[in-house]
This record gives sequence, C-alpha cells and structure tokens, in this order.
Amino acid sequence: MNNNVNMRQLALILLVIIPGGKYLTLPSMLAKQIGTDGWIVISAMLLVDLVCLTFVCWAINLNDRYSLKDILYMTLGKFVTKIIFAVFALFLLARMVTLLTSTYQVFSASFAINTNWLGFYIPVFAVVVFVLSRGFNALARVNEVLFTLIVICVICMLVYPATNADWHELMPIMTSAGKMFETMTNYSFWFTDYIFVYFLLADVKKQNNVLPVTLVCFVVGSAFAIFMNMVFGALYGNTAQYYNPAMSKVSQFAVLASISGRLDWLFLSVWMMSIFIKLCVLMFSAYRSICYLLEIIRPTVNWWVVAFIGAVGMSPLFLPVEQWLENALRVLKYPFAAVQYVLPLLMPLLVTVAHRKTVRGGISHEHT
Amino acid sequence: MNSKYFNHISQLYRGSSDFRVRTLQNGCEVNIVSLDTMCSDQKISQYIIEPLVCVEAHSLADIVKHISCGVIVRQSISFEQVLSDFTNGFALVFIDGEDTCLCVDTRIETGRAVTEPPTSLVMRGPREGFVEDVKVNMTLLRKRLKTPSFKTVQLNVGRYTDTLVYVCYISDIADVEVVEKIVQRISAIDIDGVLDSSYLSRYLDPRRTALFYRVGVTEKPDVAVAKMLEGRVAVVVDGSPMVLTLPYLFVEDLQSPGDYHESGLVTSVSRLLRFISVLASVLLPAVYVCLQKYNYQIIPLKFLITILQSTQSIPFSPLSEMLMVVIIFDILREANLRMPTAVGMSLSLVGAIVLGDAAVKAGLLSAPAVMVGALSGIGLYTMPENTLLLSLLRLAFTFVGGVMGLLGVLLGLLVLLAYMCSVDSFGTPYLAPYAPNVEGDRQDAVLARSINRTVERPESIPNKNKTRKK
Repeated sequence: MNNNVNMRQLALILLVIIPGGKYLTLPSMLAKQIGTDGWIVISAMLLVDLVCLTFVCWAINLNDRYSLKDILYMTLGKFVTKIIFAVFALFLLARMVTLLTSTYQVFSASFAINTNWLGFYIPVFAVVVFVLSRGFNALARVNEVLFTLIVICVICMLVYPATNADWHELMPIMTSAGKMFETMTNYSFWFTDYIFVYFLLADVKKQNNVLPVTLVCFVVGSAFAIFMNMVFGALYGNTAQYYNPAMSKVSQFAVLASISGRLDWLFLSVWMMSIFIKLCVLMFSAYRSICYLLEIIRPTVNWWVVAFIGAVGMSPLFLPVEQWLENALRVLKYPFAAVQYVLPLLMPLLVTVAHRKTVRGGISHEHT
Repeated sequence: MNSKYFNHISQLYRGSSDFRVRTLQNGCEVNIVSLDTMCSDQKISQYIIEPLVCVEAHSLADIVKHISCGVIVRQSISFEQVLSDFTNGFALVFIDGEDTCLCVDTRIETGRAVTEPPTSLVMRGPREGFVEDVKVNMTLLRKRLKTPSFKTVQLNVGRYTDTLVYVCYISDIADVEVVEKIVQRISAIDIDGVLDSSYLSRYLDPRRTALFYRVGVTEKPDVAVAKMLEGRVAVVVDGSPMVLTLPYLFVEDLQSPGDYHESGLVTSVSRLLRFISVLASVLLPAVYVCLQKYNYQIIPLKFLITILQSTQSIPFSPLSEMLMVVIIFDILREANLRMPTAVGMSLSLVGAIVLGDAAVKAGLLSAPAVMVGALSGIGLYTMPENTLLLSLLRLAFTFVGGVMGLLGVLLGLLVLLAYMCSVDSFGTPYLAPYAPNVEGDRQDAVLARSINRTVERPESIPNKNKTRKK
C-alpha cells in the first residue's frame, strides 16, 4: 500500500471532504436545536477546526517521518497510546456509520426510493475497500482528478437556490449565545474532518510554502459548507428541521423548469463522489487506528480488520445504531473531544519531545 | 578437414536442404559455407569467390586482404558468434588448418520499402514508417538523431529466434536507472521465440494483469525520436514495425502525430474532443440505461416523450436492449477487422442497414438505443490503441448501470479511477500530469501549447536534462 501524499494533495482532500458531509442530515439537526442559526454554529466549529489544523500542520513541519504511533509511544507511553487509539477507532467508526446512513438517506430520497440498505451498503463498502487496498496515494490522486468537477457541481447546485432564497429568514441572528455554545459541544462529533492527517504523519511529503495553501483550502471548503447551510436556512426558515437530508431537498431548487429535466440530479450525483471520498478517508483512518491499537504491522491489507470494519458498517441493518449513538454521544463527546481538540493542540509539543528523546536516547522508531 | 567449427556446423545443419558448401582450391582448401535461403548467390560470387579465384591463400589473413572491400567481414572467435552470424545470412569462409573462420555479410535484402504506416496516417508531417528490418529502422532513427549521445544497447532474445533487440536512448536526456531497468528486464527474458515487439511489451510491463497498456507503441520514427527527446527509451525489435516506448502515460493515448503540426488551440480542441468521445463511448450506454430505467426525471420532457414512444413496443428491458446493441456492434467490429477489405465494407453496410434498421423496424430495438450504441461505438476509435479495452469497460459500465443505476456508475468510475491512479510505468504515474498534478507537464496533455512555447521536458518522465529550449 502506497500511502505517500504531498501537502497539496492533503489540502485538496480537505477542500473536498469538509463540505462533503455537512449537507446531509446535520443542517436539519442543527435547525431543530437552534433554528436558523445553524450556519453560525458551523462557522464557529470550523473556526475551531482551523486553529486545530494549524497546529497539526505545524506538527507535520516539525516531524521527521515519525508516525502518530511512534510519537505517542515515545511521549505518553504504551498504555495512554492504546487508550488514544481506542478512542480514535470508536470515533472514526461512529463517523463512518453516521456518514453511511446519511448518504443512504440522500440516495434513497433522490435517486432510488426502493433501495434497501444492503443493496446500497455492500457495493459502497466493496468499492471503499478496493480504494483502500490501492493505498491512500491512489485516493489522493483520485481526489485530484475529481475535485474541480466536484467544486463546479457544488457551485451549480447552489447558484439557483441562492438567487431564490429569502435571506431575511436568517434574521435575527445569534438569539441565544448560551444555547449556541451548548449546540456546539453537542454536535462537535460532526466536525474535525482533518483528523485523517494524524494517520498520515509519517507519509506526508513536506513542501515549501504549502501551509498557507492548506489553510486556504480549508477556509474555501468551510465557506462552501457555511454557504450551503445559509442557503438551506434561508430557503426553509423555521421549517428547515423537517427537511432531511438537506442536499436532496435544496437541489430541487436548481431545477430550471420541469421541461428541462432534473439536471440538478446529475450535479448531485457528481457531488456524491465527495462523500465516497470522505468514506474512504474515514475507512482508512479507522483501519489505521485499529492496526495501531492491535499493533498490526504489515505492508498489505489486513482482511480481518477490514471484515471487522465491514461488520460495524453493516450494523444499522440489525440495530438502531443512530439512536444509540445519539444517546452515547452525551458521554462520548468528552473522550472524543480529547482526540479532536486537545491532541492537535499538543501535537507540536509531542513531536518536539519525541525528536529530542530520539536525539538523546537514540530510540529507534518503526513506521507502521 | 581440420576446422572444428566447420565440422560442428556441418553436423548441426546435416539434412537441411538449403545448407551449401562450396570448395575452392587456392593453394590449400577453402570452404565457403552458406544457407541458400538466407544468402545472396550474387554477393557470394561477387565478394568471396571472384576475389579468390586467382589468388593463392594459406591463412584467413590472406583471404581477408582480398575480400574486405565494401562488405562486412569479421573473424569470429566464439562458436556462438559464428552460429549467430550464419543463421543471420552471413557466409562462413573456412580454410584448412584454422579453427576460426571469416563471416562475410551476404544477406539477402528482403522486406518492404519504407512507406506511410497505415495505423498513423497524417495530413501533415513526415510519412516514413518503420518496417520489419531492424537495420532499416535503426537507420530511420539515426537519420533523425545525428548526435553521439544517441546510444543503443544490442540484445538477443529468444532461444530459437535469436531476435535482435535494440534499446535506444539519448544519453544526455534519458534517466540511466530507467535504461538499466529496461535492459535488465529484456535480458532476463527466457522464451523460445520473439516474433514481434508485443512479446516484449508483456515482459516490460511487470503487472501482467493490467487493464491498460503501460508500454507505448509507434510505427513512426519521428514520434519515436520525439519521445526519446522527452527522456523516454525506445525498444526496436527485429521483425516488427512497432517500436516500443517507455515510460508510457495515459495522455499519450490522446496524442496524435498530426497534433504537432497544428497550432496549440487546434490541437487542444481536437484532444478535448477525443477525450469527450472516449468518456461518452464508455459511459453513454450506461447513463442511457440508468436514466431510462431508474432516473427518467433527469431527461428533458420532450426527449423523454420521444424515448417513451420509441421504446413502448420493445419486448426487452432497457439493459438487455442496450447490451444487445453493444454486443452486436462488437461482433460487427471483430468480423470487420478480419474480413478482406472489399467484403469488410459490405459487411459494415449489412450491419448498419440490415441489422440496425431491420431490428428497429421489427420492433426489437429502439432507434435511440441504436443511436446511442452507434455513437458510443464510433467514439471508441478516437483511442485506437485501447478500443478493445474501452469496449470491455463500456459493457461493464452498462451492466452495472442497468443493475444498480447511477450509484453503480459512480462507484464503477471511482474503482476505475482508483485503479488508474495506482498504476505506474517505470516510476511514472500513469495519470500524470493530472494525478499527481504536475503543472509544467500540462503543456502537452489534453490541452496543448505550441512547440515554440514548450521550454522544459516533462517532469513526469525521468530525465537528467530539464531544459528543452534555451
């Protein structure tokens, strides 16, 4: 598996996956919680993400091809490292399942209403595993090929609804700051899409002056996500909470006239590629975190781990996973926040300490 | 007769009707051994017998003095060399009492003349094409590269065919590692025979299950030289007019020799058209089936009504109908390729008129399906090297689209892209300069710049001299 990527490819992945998962079920969930101020919550969360990403990029610049596992082992010890990877695995698997179910909803609400979960899940999972088996490098290149097309389609989908939206629906803004903070903490699970960068620490090829480009890409991706949520709020106002999933509803407004056909569905289907890319990214990160947790070191794909992830992904067929997750997140949001928000802030420090230890003690490291 | 080699050769070729020994008495016995089918009698008479008629010779050195005029003569030490020369049409001259012999070039000059290759016809530009004779092919290359930096490595491959292979490159430009790797791979081939360059391309491509060709093929010396000037390596095989070029990129499939004689704008537009038609040929039948079967809302209303009117009496599902059209087209194409030209033309007419029109009139196939199938079939030929592969992909996408709808097509595209993105040819990513993005190399990709604005060699092709234009 060739997982080497350069900073430019990382930046483009960020640009594609940030808006990729934010138009599904999240906007209506936020609307239910905080009304039309959902876009402000998203803006604030993405701002926090930007700060965290800056620290992670700083850590990449300081790092000399150490993997996350090497760094954590050298600085926090084996026990803490295992706990961190267990939290990572849980977080990423939960994100994967949530994204899968949301995508299924978009798909069955737009393209084929009678699609069953297995008929959707099995081919999607098979493709994600195939992409994973070709290495993260292949995924990064796929994203390079598709990103222009995806961005154009997102713009095409937004232009018509945006010109028809009643922007007064978004007023008044920030009616309750306290409730907004509460919403931010409750929905933090849906953010920090940059988390996959942790699992590529040893594989990133550093380039000069790419940090600003990475951050700009993140900001552009975030702007798309925020704008999309603003359009959603402006279109549906107080009834936004009942329109789920968001994208399949918003895209209806792109129909120029029924006589011209639902061309917006073509844009929507291209945009869905970004969700599949995001699924691959999450699957890759979940796979790596489980491998780190179980100390599996091998250059090829471990099919047992893949089978386990596949079984977890299939769970919504048998269990009310979404409901469980909603309840569990009340408690799990705290350990999740540790890896989402605390760890990135500490990463530059941990990387520096790990390198100093190597210089002093001559500790050997292994890339996994 | 004391010559060891003479006895050995006579033993090996005993029973071959074209094995001939001519004996002269020039002081001592001189034997001229040749293969009638490979050697020219006229050359043997002119270059060997005539100069020796009135001469007294006691050693090979005496003979060399008389016959080394205007013809290749070498004194061979090893038996392998003697045998190789003999099988290649050299006459062997033995003299009584000496173990070694003289090899004199008396090969019959066969083969066709240098003509315009039928697979790469151009409106403008050179019309010379490679032929089957490796010597002529090397001349065509050398004629265009008048520099001592043009290097060749000579190899022989095939236990029985002993085929001559030349690995050609420009030493100031090509990456040594790539050259070494290619030479190593060819040297490691242990096969009974190499009859064409396509035999080698299977060995030069390490992943033998690969869908896409990762070895370029050209019949034109100007193209081969242009590729060498970009840092690639050319492999010329005796007996084949197809010269291999390595490393190979996907965008090369979109390039045509005629492109370089047009302006950048015209070239860009034609390449863009080629790319669109390739995409359409692979995806159009699949999208048509998807839209008709699952997502007909996407089709504009008037067009939808037309489709519905023409498909309402068709007894097949959209998927089976389209698969039939596509398979019939592929059968016609295969038959057409193997038919003599005159019959082939009538066959295409029969295919188009009888099968298409009659099937529509009989209500077996709908007119839009035939149109989509035909359009996609024609589109396949914009990438002639990959027609078969594109046709396979078209079938696969049509099937997946018919079973799973747009989701299937999207997932299929993702798989295909991931596959193509993970493939490389001698360290060069197959989809470069797009994935990974190599900004400078886009000057000659889908969009092209004029040659006078091409300043640097492509970065994706390993080379040691970046500057092209000063």
